[in-house]
Amino acid sequence: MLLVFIRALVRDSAAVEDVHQETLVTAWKTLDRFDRERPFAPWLRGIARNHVFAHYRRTRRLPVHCEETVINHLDARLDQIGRRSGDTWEEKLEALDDCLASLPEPNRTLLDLHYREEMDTERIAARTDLRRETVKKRLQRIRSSLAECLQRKGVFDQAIAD
Amino acid sequence: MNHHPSQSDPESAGDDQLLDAILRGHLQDSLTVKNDRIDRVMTAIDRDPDRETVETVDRMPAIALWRQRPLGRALAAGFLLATITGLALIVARPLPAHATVLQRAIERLTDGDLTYLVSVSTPPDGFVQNEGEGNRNQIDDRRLVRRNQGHQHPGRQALAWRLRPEGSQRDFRGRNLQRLDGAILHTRGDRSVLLIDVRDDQVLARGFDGSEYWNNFQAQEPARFGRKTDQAEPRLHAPKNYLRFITRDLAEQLQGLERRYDLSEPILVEDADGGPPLIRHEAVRRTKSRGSAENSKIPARIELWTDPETERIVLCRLDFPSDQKDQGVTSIEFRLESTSSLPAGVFDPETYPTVKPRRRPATPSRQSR
Repeated sequence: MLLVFIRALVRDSAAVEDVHQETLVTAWKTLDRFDRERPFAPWLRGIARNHVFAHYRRTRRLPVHCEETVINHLDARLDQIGRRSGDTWEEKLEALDDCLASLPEPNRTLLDLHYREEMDTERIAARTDLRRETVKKRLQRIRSSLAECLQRKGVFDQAIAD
Repeated sequence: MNHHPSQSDPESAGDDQLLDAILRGHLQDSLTVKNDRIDRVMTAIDRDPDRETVETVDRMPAIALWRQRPLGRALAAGFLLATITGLALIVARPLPAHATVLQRAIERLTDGDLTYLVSVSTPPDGFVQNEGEGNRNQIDDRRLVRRNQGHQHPGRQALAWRLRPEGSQRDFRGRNLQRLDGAILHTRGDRSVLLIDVRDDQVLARGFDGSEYWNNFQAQEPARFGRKTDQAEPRLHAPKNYLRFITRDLAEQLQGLERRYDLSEPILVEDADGGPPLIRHEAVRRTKSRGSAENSKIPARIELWTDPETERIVLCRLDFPSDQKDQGVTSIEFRLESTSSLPAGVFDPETYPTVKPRRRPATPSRQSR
């Protein structure tokens, strides 16, 4: 769940790993400060948030998707998922597997190319002989479809599909 | 996909980013990637292990318990793995739920160099698969209850890996699996090699390099197009499906347990001889899966014993049903023998001399007469 939080705020994969590592090392060092009466995950995300800001201070740029209101919403969403049944993140998001499995094969391929292979729409277009705009629209549709599926399965509430 | 919603709609922006992050993680994070990530963090902690301390630490029994253990990789690993799989829950509940314990144990299967001893046996009486039969007598019932509810501690044999004892003779009872009994399985990350004594001090090595299988058996005929690795192996009599299952990355196989198996609650089982307790997990294949064509290729029952201190799987027992109903069940057991570093080259095919097919005896064969 921590990695998802960081990934939602940082796009660059290498930077995600750096922030994640820094967060865990800080958590390790300051574990005694953690108040057991409070939930652990938000504490960890608080540390991560500081490291995300530090990362953007180093790069001298705070993107719009890291605004305080967005981060607060992310926090709330992750708390919501955290309350779902299951002990691991994978269990809490078991519904995602079903949603992915329900996608037509061409759409799963597009998702693979974009997320697993980390290709941008231009490279996907070149690989699939589709126009870039088509790839972009299809990916958007796939994401909307997944969001709706997750909403139906109760992972997110209404706002996710808007 | 890289569209950024407007500032005026932080909820949509947050949801969009969250879904994006979930998909990235879901599709990119293999077990190897996760382990590498953990290794990097552990290395960072090893480099600078000093921690801040406060007087109030005693208010946190679970964390205080951790701190009593030696500071080092084990603790760091426990901390990190637990964090990744939901440390919040563990802090809230001193006894972690079974899935978390099992998950951590399975993840540890790819952590470091491991040596497992393989043994094969015919099934014990009272195997759980027989429970559904209606013609058992009362004596059998009593025996079943005692065996299945007693959860007998496997004893010191399951902890032998700590002492690295010399190999001992096994009580061989399987009729057709002699060569697999006593085999050695080495694993390192997603690589593995199964070493089987074949004959005349020759060793058959069957390995997996993370993507491909290999073996050191020289086929009797020149290689043909499309021949699979399995076809080049000598007759082990052990059904190939067993080999396929156990030489494939065992951790990967166990990852999807919950999809096909009913998992039991973990049970802490004390050793009657005073040895350390072990945690027992049992996975029984769901009924709907048992009638499939792949029936004998997947274990009907998996029993895992984990060491609570190191979270390692110290004993893994796989019960394979037979293709033929009258032959019962074959149990293949993996017992952790060692966690010591393995020599370089253990996972390289070149390390193992080629095993040649057995020559026919000098006496004329029946066909030539």
